[in-house]
Amino acid sequence: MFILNPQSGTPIYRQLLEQVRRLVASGRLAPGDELPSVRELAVEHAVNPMTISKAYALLEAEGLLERNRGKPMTVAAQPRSHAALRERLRRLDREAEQLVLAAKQLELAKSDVLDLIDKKWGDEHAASGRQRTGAQ
Amino acid sequence: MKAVARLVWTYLTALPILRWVGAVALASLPFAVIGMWPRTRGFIALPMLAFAIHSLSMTIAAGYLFRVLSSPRSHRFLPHFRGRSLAAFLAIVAVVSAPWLVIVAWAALRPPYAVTLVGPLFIIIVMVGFTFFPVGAAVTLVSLLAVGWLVTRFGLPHPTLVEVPSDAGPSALAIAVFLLCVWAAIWIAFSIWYLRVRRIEPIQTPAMILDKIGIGPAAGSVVFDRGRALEASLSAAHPQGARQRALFIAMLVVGTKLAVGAMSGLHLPLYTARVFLFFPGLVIPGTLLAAVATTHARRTRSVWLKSGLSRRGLLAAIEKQIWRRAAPGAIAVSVVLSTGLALAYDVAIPALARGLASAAATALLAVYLGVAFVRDSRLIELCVAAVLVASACVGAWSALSGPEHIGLWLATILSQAAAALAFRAIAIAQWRTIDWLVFKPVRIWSQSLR
Amino acid sequence: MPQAVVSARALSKRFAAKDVLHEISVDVEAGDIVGVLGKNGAGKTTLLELLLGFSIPTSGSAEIFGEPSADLSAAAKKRIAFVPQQDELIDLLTGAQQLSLTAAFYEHWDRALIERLSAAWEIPLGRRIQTLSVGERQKLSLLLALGAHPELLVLDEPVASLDPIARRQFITEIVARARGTQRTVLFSSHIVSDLERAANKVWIIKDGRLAWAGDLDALKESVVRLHIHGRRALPGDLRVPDALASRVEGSRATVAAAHWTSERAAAVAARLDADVEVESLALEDIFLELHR
Repeated sequence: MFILNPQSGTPIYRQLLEQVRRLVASGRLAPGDELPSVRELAVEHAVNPMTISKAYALLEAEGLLERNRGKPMTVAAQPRSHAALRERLRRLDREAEQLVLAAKQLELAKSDVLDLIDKKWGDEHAASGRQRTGAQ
Repeated sequence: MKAVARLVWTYLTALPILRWVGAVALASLPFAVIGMWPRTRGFIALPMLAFAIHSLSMTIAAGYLFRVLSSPRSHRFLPHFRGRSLAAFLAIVAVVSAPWLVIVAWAALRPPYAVTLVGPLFIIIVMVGFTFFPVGAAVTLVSLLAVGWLVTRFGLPHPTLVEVPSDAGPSALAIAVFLLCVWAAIWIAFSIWYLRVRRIEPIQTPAMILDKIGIGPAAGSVVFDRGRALEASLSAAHPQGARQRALFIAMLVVGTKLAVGAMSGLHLPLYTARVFLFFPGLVIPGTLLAAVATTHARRTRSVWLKSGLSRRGLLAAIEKQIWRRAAPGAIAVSVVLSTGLALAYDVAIPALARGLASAAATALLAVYLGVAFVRDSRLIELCVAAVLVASACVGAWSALSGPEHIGLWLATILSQAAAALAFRAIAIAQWRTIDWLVFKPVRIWSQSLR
Repeated sequence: MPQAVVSARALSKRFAAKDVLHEISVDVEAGDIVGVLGKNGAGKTTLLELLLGFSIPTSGSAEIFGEPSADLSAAAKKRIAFVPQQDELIDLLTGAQQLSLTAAFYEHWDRALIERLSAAWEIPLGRRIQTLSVGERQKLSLLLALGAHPELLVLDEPVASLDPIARRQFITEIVARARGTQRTVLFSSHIVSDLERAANKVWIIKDGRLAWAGDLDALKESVVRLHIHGRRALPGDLRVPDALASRVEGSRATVAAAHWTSERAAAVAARLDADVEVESLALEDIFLELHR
């Protein structure tokens, strides 16, 4: 289910976090689905179980997973569209940050950047809509 | 040149036993000086014996060390290693053979003994060959003995390397020279072979060889209790090594018989004979206990955690183990050898008893010297060895020299016992801070063979 | 605050005239799997053996289970197992006999575990130890330590002679036996990939000092490599905070830095008027950067 690379610069728990989020967001992990236990995953990938439980704990705190006494962790039931949107937006967080940073360095105005995005998107309605509201 | 010198030094100090024996030989040199006075001429026997023992050990070890150093895995990439290794080895052989060559040269002026004394030079070759080519040499030796037996059995004429008629004059010298040339030729042939052979296999340990021919400890399941487990860990011996130990003791007894037989042919004065014959039996086993004790001490590292014992507890465990196992063995060997020889040589019982008491005192001192020195220092080891063996020799000699030396004998025994107590106290203090990071088991075999 | 399983305070060791370890203060908490990394001769073996009481420190203290290491009680020692760098097997014994010898020292010896692992790891138990290969000897040494289920397992280069399959089997076993706070492991290894898998804490020893002691994850998040592309030639002195090593070539630079945060990236980019690309590093690269 997961691909964990201990040699990556990204810590293992973070890799697991991202992958679970992605799987839930894409619907491949549905609410109620069971995740492998900490021990199973640790043995299968030959990694420290504490890193697995750290990831699971963080996901539980996020509300993505829920703990069941005596049974493995399951995907929490959640308002699908809301969670999905939130999750999906979070995916783009880093890229958005980099885009804004680069734009500021190039001394571009926000409207110019939004135009660029529109062009990339190929959505002309959005472009004309923005022009109408006169955003700068 | 420096590399060869360093290799020679390695030969002389590679094994603890060689270092000890070398130290003893050096320590005995003062006795040579004392022996120059006519009144105390007897003392010269001590350094002679010490150097003889050193020669013997060196010869046996040299063949083995040479084989180990020649095995393909070690030093493969050092330039000219084969040549330098051979040069160092031949230097050792020269050192060991030199005394005999000198004796042969001296005896060449006194014809009856000339050829007899060439014999030991060939014995050196046999001993070196045995440890360099254990299996090959064993096969060769057995075949030669078989041939010799057949020859004598069927009364065929055979050349003797032993007796030459006293009126032979110059031809005795010629024969001696001829034999020396043969001797040199053997070494030259060996050197040429060694430099040209492509690969020399690593040596197999005696235990492995004995194991292959079926004389070895059991390979089945062994049940250990805590006590036996601790014993086996400290002595690194198989708890069922009885068969191999029995073989060793049998060889010792047989070897002694042969040595006695050979020695009686030399017509030495009775006094010197007694010293030569009894000394090894009274001095060596007790002295070797020091090596046993220090080996046990080094091995306590492996049971520091497992046994749960404190540093003081481990010292007590070694003490107990040596007094229960190794010491009785050593003393028994001394008793067996000395009593056997005493019966053959008509030595007075009181002298024998005094000699055995001396052996026991040596054993006592040896054990506590062995456990007291837990700093990894070769210099201290050498000094300790020298002190121990000197006291052992003095004790044994004064015991056998008759009633006039009883005072010296008593003084030696009492000082050995007092020293033993002192060293026990030192051991207790030293073990409080024993440092196993530096005080480790000696590992020549594994380092060379891996 | 739970008591640390192993604890060192200003631990120093001096041999002849050389300082092998200098003022090392560190804790191992229950349940940690600590990997110790360092160059040859950096002091890893000395540190591990000092912690276990094989030697008396020149100054400072080392404790296990709250007791001074040089004077551990028998009860404390029963809960510890150590696999030294040079094995301590008795050549004349067979593997099975050596196992029964070691088992005799412990009350609870797990024969089932030994049987399972000796089969899985392919250790011949019927032959004399002197006939085993180096890898088989090492595997046997590991087995001897695991059989007693020690609370604290200390290993000094335990897998140096093992092939990748055997190493993976070993790591899997270490990871499988972890039981919350009941099993603590401390091991030193050159094989960084094994450390990256199994350890949650890492100690990096450099010249007898502790260059890093803490979470592996935090270490990876803290040490990064910056690739700086400036619009103009960059100054020789880049003044990147907590830089470990830097290389400047015209308008490009590569800098390894510690204690990294994203604010620093923005600050550096703004100050140097450059693009800053942040590369997170594998443990091996972190080790190399720390030793430049």
